[in-house]
Amino acid sequence: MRDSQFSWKFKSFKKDKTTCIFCSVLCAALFIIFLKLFSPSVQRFFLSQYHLKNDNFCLWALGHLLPSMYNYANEVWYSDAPFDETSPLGLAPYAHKWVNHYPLHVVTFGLYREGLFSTPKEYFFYLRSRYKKSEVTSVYHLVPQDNKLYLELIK
Amino acid sequence: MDRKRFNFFILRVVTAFWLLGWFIKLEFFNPYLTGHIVRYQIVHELFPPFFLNSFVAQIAYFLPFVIFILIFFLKRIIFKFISIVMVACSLLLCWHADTYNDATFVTSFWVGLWVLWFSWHLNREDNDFYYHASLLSKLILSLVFLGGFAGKLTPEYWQGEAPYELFFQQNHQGIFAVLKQRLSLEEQLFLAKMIGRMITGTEGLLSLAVFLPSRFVYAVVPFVGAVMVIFRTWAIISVLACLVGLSLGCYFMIKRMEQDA
Repeated sequence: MRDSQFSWKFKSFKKDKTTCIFCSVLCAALFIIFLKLFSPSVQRFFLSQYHLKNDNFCLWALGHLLPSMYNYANEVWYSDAPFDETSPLGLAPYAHKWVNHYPLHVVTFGLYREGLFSTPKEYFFYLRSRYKKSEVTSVYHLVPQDNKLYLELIK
Repeated sequence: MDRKRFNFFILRVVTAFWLLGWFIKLEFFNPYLTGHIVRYQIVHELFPPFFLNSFVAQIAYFLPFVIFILIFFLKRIIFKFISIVMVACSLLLCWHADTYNDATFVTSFWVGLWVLWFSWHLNREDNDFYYHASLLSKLILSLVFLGGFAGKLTPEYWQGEAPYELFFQQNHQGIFAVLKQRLSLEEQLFLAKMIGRMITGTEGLLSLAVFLPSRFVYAVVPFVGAVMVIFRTWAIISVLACLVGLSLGCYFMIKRMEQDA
C-alpha cells in the first residue's frame, strides 16, 4: 500500500464518529497553535497563560493541553525587596534567570520552594515573557506562612 | 500472530513506553509528591482547591502503577480501563498546581487519548483501522512538535541567548558541562546558537509529520528522542518516551499492513 494512500484516507472517517471527533479535536488544536504565529491576541493569551494570569481556570486548563515545550523568551527576576512596577532593572540585589517555560515554576515546581521557608520572609518575583511583538509582565508577591506559600499576583 | 493479538501487541508497546516516560522521574516525584508538596503547600487564586490538594496529585501519579499488572491481560475491557487511567491521570496532573509545569503530562495525555481510541476500536476488522490509527498518531506528533516549534521562533532563541543560558549556564551535567570547561565563551555562544537553530529546524520539520511519509516520521522521532537524551538530559525521556512508543507502535503497524497487502 502506498504511503500517500496511507496518510490521506479521510473519506472513511465518516464511518466512525469517535474517529471523526478525535481527528477534529487534533486539527482544531493544530489550528490554534498555528494562530499563535500570527495573531497578537492569541500570543497574549498564551503568554498570560504562562504567568497563570487567566481569570477563568477552565480556559487556562483547556489552553494548557496544547503542547508548548520550551516556548517564548521567559525571564524571571527575584528579590526580597519590592520591584518597581514597570521594570525590575535598577533594583539591587536581585537574581535573574532564563526559564524554558512557565516561569513561575521556579517556585511552584521542584524543591526550590523549601528554600523559601528556611528563612521565612516575603519575596517578589518579576516575570517577563515575550513572543514576537507581544509581551506580558507580571509581579508576584510570595509569602511563606504556616507551611503555605501564598502567591499573590500584584500586577 | 492473528490480527487481534497483534493489536494487543501494538497497545502494549505504546503503553510500555508511556509507563517508562511516566515513571522515569520516580526518584524525584516520589519525595516531591509524598513529602515536599504536603509540607509546603502553594496557594494561588487561579487553581480550585481540588487542584491544590496534594492527595489528588499523589493518586494521579501513583495510580498508573496498576497498569504494570493489567498490561499482561489480553482483554479489551482491561485495555479500555488502562487507557482511561492514562488519560484521567495525565489530565489531573496537567491541571494540578504542583505538577502543571511538567510537559510529561501533556504528551502523556495526547498519547493516552490515542490508546483510548485504539482500545475502543480494537475489534475493528475493516482495512481502514490502521490508516486511521496512523493518521491520528501523525496528527499528535505534528501537534506536539508544532507546539515546540511555534514557541521557539523568538529572537532570543534564534540568536542563541536563551539556549546558551539553558544548555550551558543551567546545565551542570553531561556533555554541556564538559564543553563548558573546554570551549571559550565565544565558542559556547556560537554552539548554543547552532544547537538552538537545529532544534527549531527539527521541530519545524516534525511539525509537518502529518504530510510526511509515515515510515520516515516513525523512524525519525525515536532518533530525535535519542539525540535529545544524549545531548540535553536524560530527564527529557519523560516527555518523549510516549511519543517514541507511539511511533514504534505505528511503525510495526505499517509493516504489518504491508505484509497483509
